[in-house]
Amino acid sequence: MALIEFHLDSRSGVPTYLQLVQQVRHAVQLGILGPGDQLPTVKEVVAGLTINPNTVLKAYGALENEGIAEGRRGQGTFVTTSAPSPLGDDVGKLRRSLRNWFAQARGAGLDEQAIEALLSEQRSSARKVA
Amino acid sequence: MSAALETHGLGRRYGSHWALQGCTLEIPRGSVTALVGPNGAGKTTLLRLAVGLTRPSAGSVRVLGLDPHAEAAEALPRVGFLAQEHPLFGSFTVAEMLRVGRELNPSWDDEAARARIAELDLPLKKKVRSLSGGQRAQVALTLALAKRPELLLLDEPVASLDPLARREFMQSVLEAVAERELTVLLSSHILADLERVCDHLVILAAGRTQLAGAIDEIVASHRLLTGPRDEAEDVARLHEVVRASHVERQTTLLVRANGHVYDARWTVHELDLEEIVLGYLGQDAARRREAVSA
Amino acid sequence: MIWLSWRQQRLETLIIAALLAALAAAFVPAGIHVADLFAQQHLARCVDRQNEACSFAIGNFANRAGFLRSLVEGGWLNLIPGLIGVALAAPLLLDLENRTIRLAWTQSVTRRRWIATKGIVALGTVLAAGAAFSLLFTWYQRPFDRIWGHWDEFGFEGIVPLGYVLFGLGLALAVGVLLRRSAAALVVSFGAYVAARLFVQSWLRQRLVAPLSATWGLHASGPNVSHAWVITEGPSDRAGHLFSGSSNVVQSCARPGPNGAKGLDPACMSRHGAGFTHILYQPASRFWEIQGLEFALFGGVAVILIAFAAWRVLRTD
Repeated sequence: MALIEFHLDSRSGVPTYLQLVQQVRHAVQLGILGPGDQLPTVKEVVAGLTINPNTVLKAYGALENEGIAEGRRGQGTFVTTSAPSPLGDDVGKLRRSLRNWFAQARGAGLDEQAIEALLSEQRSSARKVA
Repeated sequence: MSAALETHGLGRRYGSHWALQGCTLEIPRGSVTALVGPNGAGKTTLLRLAVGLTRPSAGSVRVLGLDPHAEAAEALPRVGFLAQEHPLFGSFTVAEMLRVGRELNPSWDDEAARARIAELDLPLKKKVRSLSGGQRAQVALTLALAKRPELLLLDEPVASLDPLARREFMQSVLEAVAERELTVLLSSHILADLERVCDHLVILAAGRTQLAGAIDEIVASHRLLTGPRDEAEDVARLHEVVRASHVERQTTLLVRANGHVYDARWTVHELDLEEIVLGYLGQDAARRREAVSA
Repeated sequence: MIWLSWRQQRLETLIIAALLAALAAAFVPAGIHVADLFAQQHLARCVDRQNEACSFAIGNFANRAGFLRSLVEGGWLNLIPGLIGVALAAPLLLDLENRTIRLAWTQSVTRRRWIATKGIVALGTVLAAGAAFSLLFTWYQRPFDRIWGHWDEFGFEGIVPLGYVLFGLGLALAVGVLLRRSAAALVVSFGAYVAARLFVQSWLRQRLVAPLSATWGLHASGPNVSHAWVITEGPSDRAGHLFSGSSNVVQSCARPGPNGAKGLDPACMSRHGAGFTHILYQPASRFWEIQGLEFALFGGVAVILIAFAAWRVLRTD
């Protein structure tokens, strides 16, 4: 049986392959997956999600490029790194500052919609810079 | 290595009506390609030309480097085809349908075929005509897969199926792709889920190819621009405008962008695949309306 | 491939086999009965001989031949070879109509091979059924044929039934590829089959080879036509032009004969320009020649029709 199971959020707008990459990264960060653990085979993923096998291959290729996993010929793809990732401490800080920001926004009288508009505006301008 | 499917100026005429005209495209091996377009756009004709059921009236078609008509004996064993109505012999049992596959295909994989039928819980002794639509589709797909084709052509494979049968059918197809080197070309007018299932896309409308390429690139290169009407022409000089709509002062353009430098006065929206496809099909519909009113 | 061809026409083949079995069940006992009767009545000595005892014995034989005889003489069984041919065309036409032909054509077998195999299996089946039909009736007819010759049930015997089944098959295939609707095609082609058979039987067959004729005076004796096919026979003038006057004339020339029966007075008939007897006939010796010609005619047309159907199917989208 596979160690983890992928899920897709079709409304997120995030490309399918990137969702797979993020879910593996997340599982590694949380310690669900460790070095030597095998990722679900392409066929398992395809059967579970009804997605294009090439998408799975692309996701696994990206994970290999990031050094999170490695493909072994004829066997499958295996995790190589372990938690905590270098991001671990930063995530905590970011989370705290976001919480502060939300509190400020509400204090300034912004409702949910206004907050959302502000967020998406900044998200897309950040993307352009990147 | 030659492409899985390659056409040049391919056309097919019935009487004075061109069902397909000037179709030039290349489907790379190993891809899962969606062939989309409105009804009557020539999707079925293109697939039939590819499997040699129909002869071209103009241009050329090659599958796996072969002429599907002149070299049918070599091409047929390597191409699987599933017609929209999933044709099977109604009076035959499922077991007899498998025997048909075995007798007509030298490369038939009987073990895999039986395993698939068992996995799907299909009774071997049941007559084909008493199966449900989804079950019939699965038997027809089993036949097409067990001949071990390199290219699988599916004409509206899920149009007649309920959502669950649809999912199961596509799962079977994609598992086959995962298991071995298999190129799939499937026509569909159902746009949802295409992005998940396919990696390449061909848009046919009015018998012509409107767009063909990798879905990633298509999504990356198309943008919706909104801006001042009097500057629309400047944009059109730089980017390929797929569709334009105007109100008094503002213009909305669906463009295939060359690079990503936009004027500050234009708002840029990203699009998902469905919106892009609808843009192309809408363009075709608009053109037809013009032709009628002219 | 051969299995598939057989499997697709299994139902039709079984129906035809059941029909032939029913015919055999009826006509084998009847055939044994008439052969026994022929022996009991010592009819062998009446072949080619005419006397009162033989006339009586032959009349007796004909009366006791059984009710199946009327079925044969009624000509209805002539429909069966057509039925065989048309029925075996049905699976091929249904394949076209239901588009299942596309399933076969997108496997690994080329169209040419598919058409050839299907065609050969269907041809083999109709020929076997036609041969069974011909053998059954040629055997059943033997006693009758020894007395009256082979001409009466020409279409049941020899090789012509093979021509008919081929013709039925070819006709249904050709009509079917044109109409694309199986049921209509089967009805139309069966009707056309009956029309063609009637035309050949009543008009063309006697002209396949120029018939012989003879004209002789009323006191002379004509040629021996005991096993021949007599096409026309009647009073005529010296040149052989058949008498075309009214029946009143013939009645006025009737005179009581020696044993009570009425005969025609030659002198009276001569006065009306009809003192001779004219006959148009095919001699018994031409049976196989005409069989061969009629078989070639139906078989040849069948080959053309089948080739046309195959050509159309090869070009189908």
